[in-house]
Amino acid sequence: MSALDILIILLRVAFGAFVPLSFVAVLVWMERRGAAFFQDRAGPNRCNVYGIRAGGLIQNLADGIKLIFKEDIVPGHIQHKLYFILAPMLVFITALLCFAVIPFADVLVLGDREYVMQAVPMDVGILWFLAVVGFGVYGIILAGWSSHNKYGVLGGLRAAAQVISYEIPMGLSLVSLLAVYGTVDLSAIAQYQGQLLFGFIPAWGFVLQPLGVIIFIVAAFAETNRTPFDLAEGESEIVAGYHVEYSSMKFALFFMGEYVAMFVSSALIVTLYFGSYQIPWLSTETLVAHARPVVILLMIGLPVIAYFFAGWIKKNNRTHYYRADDPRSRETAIYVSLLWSLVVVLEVILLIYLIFAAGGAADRILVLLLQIGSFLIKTFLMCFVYVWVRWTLPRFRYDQLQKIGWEKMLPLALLNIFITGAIIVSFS
Amino acid sequence: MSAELVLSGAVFIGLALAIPTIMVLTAVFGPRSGGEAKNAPYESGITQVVGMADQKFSVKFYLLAILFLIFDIEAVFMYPWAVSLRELGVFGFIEMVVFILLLLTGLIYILKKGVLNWR
Amino acid sequence: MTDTVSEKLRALFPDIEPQKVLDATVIDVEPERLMVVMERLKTYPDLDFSLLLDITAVDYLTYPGQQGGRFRVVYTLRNWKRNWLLQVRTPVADPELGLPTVSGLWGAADWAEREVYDQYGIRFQGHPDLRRILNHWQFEGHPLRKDYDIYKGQVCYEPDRLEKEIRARLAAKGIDQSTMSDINTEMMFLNLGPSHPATHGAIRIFTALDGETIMANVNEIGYLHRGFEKTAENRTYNQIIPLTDRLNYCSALMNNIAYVKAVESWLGIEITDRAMFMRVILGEFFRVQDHLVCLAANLVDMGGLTNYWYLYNEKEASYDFISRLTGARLTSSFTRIGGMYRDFYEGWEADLERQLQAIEKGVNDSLKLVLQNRIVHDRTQGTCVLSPEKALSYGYTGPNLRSTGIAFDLRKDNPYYHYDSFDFDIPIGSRGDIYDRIMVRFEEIFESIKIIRQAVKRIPAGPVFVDDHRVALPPKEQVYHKIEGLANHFKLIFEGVKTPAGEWYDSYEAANGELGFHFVSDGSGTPYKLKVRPPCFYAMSGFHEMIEGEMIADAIINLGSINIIGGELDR
Repeated sequence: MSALDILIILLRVAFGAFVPLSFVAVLVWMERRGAAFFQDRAGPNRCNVYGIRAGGLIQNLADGIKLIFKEDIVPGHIQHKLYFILAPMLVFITALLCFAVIPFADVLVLGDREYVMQAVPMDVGILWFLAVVGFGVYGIILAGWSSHNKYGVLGGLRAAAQVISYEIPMGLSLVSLLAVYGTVDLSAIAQYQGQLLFGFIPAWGFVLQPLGVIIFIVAAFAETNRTPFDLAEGESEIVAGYHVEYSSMKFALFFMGEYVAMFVSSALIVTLYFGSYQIPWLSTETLVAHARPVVILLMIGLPVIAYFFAGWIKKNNRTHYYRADDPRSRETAIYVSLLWSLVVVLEVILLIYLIFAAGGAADRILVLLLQIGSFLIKTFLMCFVYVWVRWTLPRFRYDQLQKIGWEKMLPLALLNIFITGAIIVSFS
Repeated sequence: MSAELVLSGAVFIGLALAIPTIMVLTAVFGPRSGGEAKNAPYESGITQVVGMADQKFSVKFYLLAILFLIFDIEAVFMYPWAVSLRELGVFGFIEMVVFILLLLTGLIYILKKGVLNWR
Repeated sequence: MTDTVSEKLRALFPDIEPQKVLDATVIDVEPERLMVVMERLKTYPDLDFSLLLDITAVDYLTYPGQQGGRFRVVYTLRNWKRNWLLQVRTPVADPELGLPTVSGLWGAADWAEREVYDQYGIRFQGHPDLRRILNHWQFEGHPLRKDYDIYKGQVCYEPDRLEKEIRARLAAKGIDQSTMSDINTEMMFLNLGPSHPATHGAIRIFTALDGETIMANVNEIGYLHRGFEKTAENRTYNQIIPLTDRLNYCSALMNNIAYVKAVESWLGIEITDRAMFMRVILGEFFRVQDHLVCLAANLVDMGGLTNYWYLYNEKEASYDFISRLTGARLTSSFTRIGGMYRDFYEGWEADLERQLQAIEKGVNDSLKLVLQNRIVHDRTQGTCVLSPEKALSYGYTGPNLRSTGIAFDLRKDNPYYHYDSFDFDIPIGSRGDIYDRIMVRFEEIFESIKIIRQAVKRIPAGPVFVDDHRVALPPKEQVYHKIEGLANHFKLIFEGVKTPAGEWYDSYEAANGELGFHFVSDGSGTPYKLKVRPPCFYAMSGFHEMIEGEMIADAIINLGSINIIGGELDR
């Protein structure tokens, strides 16, 4: 292995491990601001560091620090302390491990070497995901059971019954998808979606599997224990369910595990059904071939976007008081100047690229970065759908949830397999 | 297995283990204050509870688990079929239709038996 | 109307002489005949007193000039179809022997008799589960007896296990736990509350669960009991007004109105027209607030937090408006015996209209999320059904009763404050499930807004306080310069409003149902006895009937849907 190999392996792993983590902060922020947006209120906007509030992001920092320095209680009535401590870790680890197989850009070709852009370049893909996500429920059951608390036990049982019930429709909706793609390797699935259907429709999963995508997304909501399937927590019924006895950072691990799981399942939905990292109508080869016009477009586009973004910041962060050296105006000025200096730096980099480095490996790295951007934006939007649904729908009751899973989704998934199979067989 | 896979796998799993472990270890930063109430299970503030949490659960939960086992194993059979559907052709498809119908019959039987009727 | 009830009673019981006190007809019955009379009152189709409103007792230990026995139990009954109100009074010779129970006739008597036993120590023979209800199980003595010292507090050191009670309930339902041990499972006994996010206030809902299904349920209340009735016996009539604020704190002003209305009707005071309209406007506005809070909390129990904010944002803005109108947000104590504390500020009509429009917008926004929502429908339709017979038996009133299809509303059936001249409808449900209860409240919001708009158009100018020296403080001019004024002021403040000796019951349609006050006056400025008839108490007494056989999640939203307010429940 060359030094380049090791560097790329480390970069990939770092991406796979730390992007979901940093997205936790973004998602918590999005959840809070999103909730406030849907509910006609302001959301967190007070926490600041020297007047910088970053639109409420500092609140997350404050919460994190608070949770670290809170008393960590392991109640005395708990007999299996090891399991009690292991449970939140398990939830977090499984959520993170799922991201290992998700491709975030097309295969990077550097010289004669090809690098698959997954944290761990496995070709088992979706099978790894199914295996690990099924393991995640152990964390919840273990938490509920080792808490030695009736609410916890009920929450754990609810979560277990729910996750196993929805794993079947999820798995079956994947069966028909795999029949379409003919592979379980997520990289290959992502590449498949770079094609065009009939020459003009991007061959994304949701076009090929309109019923499957609905079943999969609903099942994914259930698997991540998000509203309307958040019965395992059901704060108004069984208080907090499985994590009722947890405090401090152990509680935070459940909390973060939930958001990592939400990020990962969004990423998987995007990978399977919404074209993964593909930019519509612009396949990897097209982008590499036309790197120069793309860069010029970017150089024109960046200042325009920055201009509107700066205008938006100024509009939403305007001060309501007339005073000298208002912290809000100062904050706005800092944001806007930071934004413009970022634009300048990017423009300089792009200019250097245009003059000195165009062509060859640099083009491929540029396309790689663009595709990572595309992947993250899509995933972010999918996460927004999660937030959107959470603040729109109330919660199911336990037996209704089971009935929907077994009576509606399972037959629908089987029907979907039948239709898909019939079409594939009759066309091939 | 290539060296690339082993290395990235080891590093990734190592990171995935290390991050939560470090987070759990931050417990040492917190203050410590004992107390009787903190060592009792929470049940809406009632300390004189009837029955403990480690009792036997309702059998209804087990029924679901058994149901899951049956259907999940059957779903596992479908993955290789799905990936190689194009090679298997019409015969493979008809075989799977028969299999799905068998599955459905079982499902309908279970639903009619009222396994999911909780109320 | 009351003539006919007297005639009917005379026809049935020739030796009983009915008296008329305000709206109510009062009969005195000997303890030996109590069961016969009560049974006939309930079952005789011409009388049909299907609603047992309240049971209370009076301790005549220190009552001036009282002859005869120390205790007397008073049953308040109502025939909702013909609006007959009847009070049956029975002397109790020996509290240890007490009276026969009527809990076999009315479900409401179960808790009502427990309360009488708890507060007065009067036993009821044959009662299935006669134990304390408002005071804790380690309490000694009976606080509403006149010889109980008001300053004697008692602390509860450990909660009641309630195991015996829930096992009795299981046995009563015919659930045999040996069948469960056959398949090697056990029933889970789970406490929901007192310290639980969904018990609005502090109520203990103790359930026996098979999986998630509630097999049996026993409830414990009294966590917010603060001795309202005992405190009231030591205050002048006007001093009690701030205490009534704390009954149903979601619609505090309605309690004020109900209380002063009861005192005024005994004094025979006709308040000024402006004060009446002010009370209508405030009462209906607070009814809207109460329903907003109830619906918001109910939907948040269901997991729909966005609904909560759509409704609660408007409630918050309304409270700001109320603080401008009355001087306080929550507990305004705005009424006085004989009128209102003061007139509204200049230009309140425009602000009120703006607030009403905001409420309509918020409610419509929330309705958009609820009306077509399949999850809400599945959760609420056909769950926790309350049949009309059960509702009447357990003494449900207000929106909870109307959701079962019984159109009983005091504003229509026994109008006060010109309610008969307003154009409004009484929304009723058809099945008595949670959905009906939610929708009846949504509709009542719109009806109340209709009433407010009419009242704002019709409100006359004029004084807000009646010109009656028995209740009205003299103007400051007279207090400072005339000895009569000073004396009058002094007497009204120190001795309170003097009411003629007697006993009476008066009721008011509060947001939650019939809020009644039973007074005993000895002629002084302090009530000898004051008993509230809180609608919540009786709603909660039938709660177990609604949730048994349903699931935990249903029990939680059902608790929200019958709108239990701790302050009123526990007093």
